[in-house]
Amino acid sequence: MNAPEAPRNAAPDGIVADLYEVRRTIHPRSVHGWFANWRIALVLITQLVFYGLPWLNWNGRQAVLFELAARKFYIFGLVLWPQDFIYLTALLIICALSLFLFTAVAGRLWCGYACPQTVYTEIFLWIERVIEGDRMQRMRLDRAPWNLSKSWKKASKHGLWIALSLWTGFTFVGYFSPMHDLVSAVQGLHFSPWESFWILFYGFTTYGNAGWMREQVCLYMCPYARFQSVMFDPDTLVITYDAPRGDPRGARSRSADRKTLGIGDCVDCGICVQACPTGIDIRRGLQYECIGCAACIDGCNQVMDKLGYQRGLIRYSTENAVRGRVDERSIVRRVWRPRTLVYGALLFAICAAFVTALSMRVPLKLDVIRDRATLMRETSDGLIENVYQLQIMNTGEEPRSLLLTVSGIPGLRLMTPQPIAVAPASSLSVPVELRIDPASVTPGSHAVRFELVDSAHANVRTTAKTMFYVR
Amino acid sequence: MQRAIWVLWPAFIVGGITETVFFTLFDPEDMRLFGEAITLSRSAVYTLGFFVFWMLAAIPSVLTCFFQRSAADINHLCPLEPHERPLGCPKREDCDQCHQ
Ligand code: SF4
Ligand code: SF4
Repeated sequence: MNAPEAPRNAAPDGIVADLYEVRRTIHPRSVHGWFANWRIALVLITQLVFYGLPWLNWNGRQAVLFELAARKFYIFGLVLWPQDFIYLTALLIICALSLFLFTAVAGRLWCGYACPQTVYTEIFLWIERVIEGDRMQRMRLDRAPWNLSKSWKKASKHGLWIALSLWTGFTFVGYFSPMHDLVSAVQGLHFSPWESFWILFYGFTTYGNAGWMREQVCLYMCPYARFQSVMFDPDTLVITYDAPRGDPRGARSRSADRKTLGIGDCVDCGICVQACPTGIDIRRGLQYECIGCAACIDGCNQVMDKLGYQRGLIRYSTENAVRGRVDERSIVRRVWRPRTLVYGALLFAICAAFVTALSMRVPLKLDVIRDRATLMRETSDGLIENVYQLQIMNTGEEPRSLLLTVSGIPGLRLMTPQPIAVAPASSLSVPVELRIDPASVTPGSHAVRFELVDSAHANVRTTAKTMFYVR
Repeated sequence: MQRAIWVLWPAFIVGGITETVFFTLFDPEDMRLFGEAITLSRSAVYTLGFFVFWMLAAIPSVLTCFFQRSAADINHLCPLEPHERPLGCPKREDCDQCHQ
């Protein structure tokens, strides 16, 4: 068996740090087991969703697109506009409350299985493992002098990392600006500078965070890691080492009887420490560095199996259970306690309000875009004209015949044929000219308001404000 | 380096939040710069805006670091020779934590 590994936080203090600390590169040992499988499954699911979603189409457009340049968010059948930011806020609150609830119940599930930081670190580690081998080989390679084979291995690793990062950056930007535009930009090699910048920026972040920073992001940069412990209580499921069962630790031969040797179940092999992506020793108790990835559980279980001992020397348990205050079997029953009930009730209430509000939305949207080229112009008969582009969106399932009116300045005339027909679930861009006699208005900008009413349903109406400029 | 990260990273978070809130409420196309309509595209304004917010958010932290400097960091002229300075003075000759 390997010699026990010193945990990361046993490093000497008081040395000038370069990034956040003097960092020993952590080479986590790969482990197999139930939790490792879950982690792999979650990496696959989250990445399938992340890389796949921007390519999905819906009603002839990208299914999920937060089109910043048009200030419109499409989420399948739902079209959200800046005015709808309340829905996005609600969505964020729902996410936050779910996170609180999960954390109160079972600790850092998010960190261990779903956080992009964990997921990309995991993917980058796979690449590293395929090219450089497992932990021991990687450590040997790092110590070895530079030669052709080492350079080749390092170069191909970084090459693959960079390729994946760029693809990730590209996908990320594809959520904010239409994918088919990006694709044609790539094909024609005419990138918009802003989009290219964000692709590179996000790609670089991915490469840096998952390739270089890794656990340091969790230890020093992540706000969630800093406050997650607030949601913990003695009934929260956390990853724990069963000290009464494991201690005193000690090496032994497979046939030895631990009773006569006077030692516990922990063979002090250090596999839990080697497997840990943040390099801590879980046997020292719950630490904020632990991201709850359960790699140490799998590692330890492999050892227990080999020795023919019972699994679960390191396992999910609660503080109350470990201290013997409650029975292990009552853990599940104690999931519902005041804290989780409050989080659950809040979550339920907000979800209900969110769904209700969404279903009561008016199925008509109006957005006014001013003609940027000409603020105003004078017509041949001496009137002042402002030109607008009306973006009318019918989010309902029926065709509509709409009547447009304008108010705000007396004498303002609307030069658009009425009614305006819009097909179901579609948008229409209508150029609109407003004219006024210069004698009846003061110079400057005036607020005007367009109103759109469905001629068949008077309750389906919406308004939009804009400016009318007079020089 | 470490200080730069202390300053830049929290500012990045604050800059991101400010950017989101600001541009949810205001459309770059409706904004006017010194009375002139902005001709840049929205993506450009968002990008530049992010850096403006990021840098603005960094200023308080920079100032905190600046005001945290000790007397020894600020004082230049010390009448004592480096080896004569009292033990524990960060500018003592043998001080291994001096960066200057
Ligand atoms: S600590 Fe933060 S960055 Fe790390 S896994 Fe958890 S949420 Fe992600
Ligand atoms: S102590 Fe265990 S669960 Fe925690 S981060 Fe390390 S390996 Fe993962």
